[in-house]
Amino acid sequence: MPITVRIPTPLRKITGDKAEISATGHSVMEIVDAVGKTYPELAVRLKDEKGGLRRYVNFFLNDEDIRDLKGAETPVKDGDTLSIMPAIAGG
Amino acid sequence: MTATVRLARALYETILRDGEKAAPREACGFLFGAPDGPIAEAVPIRNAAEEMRAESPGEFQRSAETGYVMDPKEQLRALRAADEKGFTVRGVYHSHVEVGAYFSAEDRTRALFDGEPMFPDAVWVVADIRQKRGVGAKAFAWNPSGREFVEIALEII
Repeated sequence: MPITVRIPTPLRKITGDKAEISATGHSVMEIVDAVGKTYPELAVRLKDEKGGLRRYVNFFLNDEDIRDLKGAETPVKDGDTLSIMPAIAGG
Repeated sequence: MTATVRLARALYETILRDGEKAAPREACGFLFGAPDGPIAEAVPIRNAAEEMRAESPGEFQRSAETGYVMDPKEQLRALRAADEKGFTVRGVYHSHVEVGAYFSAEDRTRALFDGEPMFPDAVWVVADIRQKRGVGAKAFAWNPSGREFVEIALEII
């Protein structure tokens, strides 16, 4: 099931300046893994050393925070958009 | 990189009032505007530092009194609303309480993701809150040639 993945500006250097890429999978984690296969450097930025999604990165499926859905296991369907958005933070 | 950022007084006041209201916690928000126009909006966003720290102490160490993390849902909502108006992120603001307006090491680190600026053309405004009163602000921008954040002039118009 192809879905659209929106890449934030700082990570577009990895995707060759592409703001959107297409990926196939059944869950958010499968999508992230599929993206990571094409762009291994992206996987490192999106997943922590335990293989989970980085808390510091927000993932929105369409307009919903996946933390309010089923997290990494949230199912995705054809035509969905997964937006990756780093947290905006400071001291 | 621009050497001066011009900010309408009403927006400047919005930033200071948000900082005063939030004290002793830090306030944060976006500055939006058309890419080639003036900064048109200052949009406060809830500081979710406490919840983020409770959920993931490894990734977020700071309390809301010494740090900010934009509430992800409000962040998304604000970005979507700005997008619909044809606005882009022209800046990010936050307040410092009792320590002065400067771009801290934490600010510099968090304004980058993977070594690249989150918003390369944005201005970062830090409000100075003293005893619950906003007494000033400073502005900082990414200098691509030096690859660092530098203070720029903040002109209130």
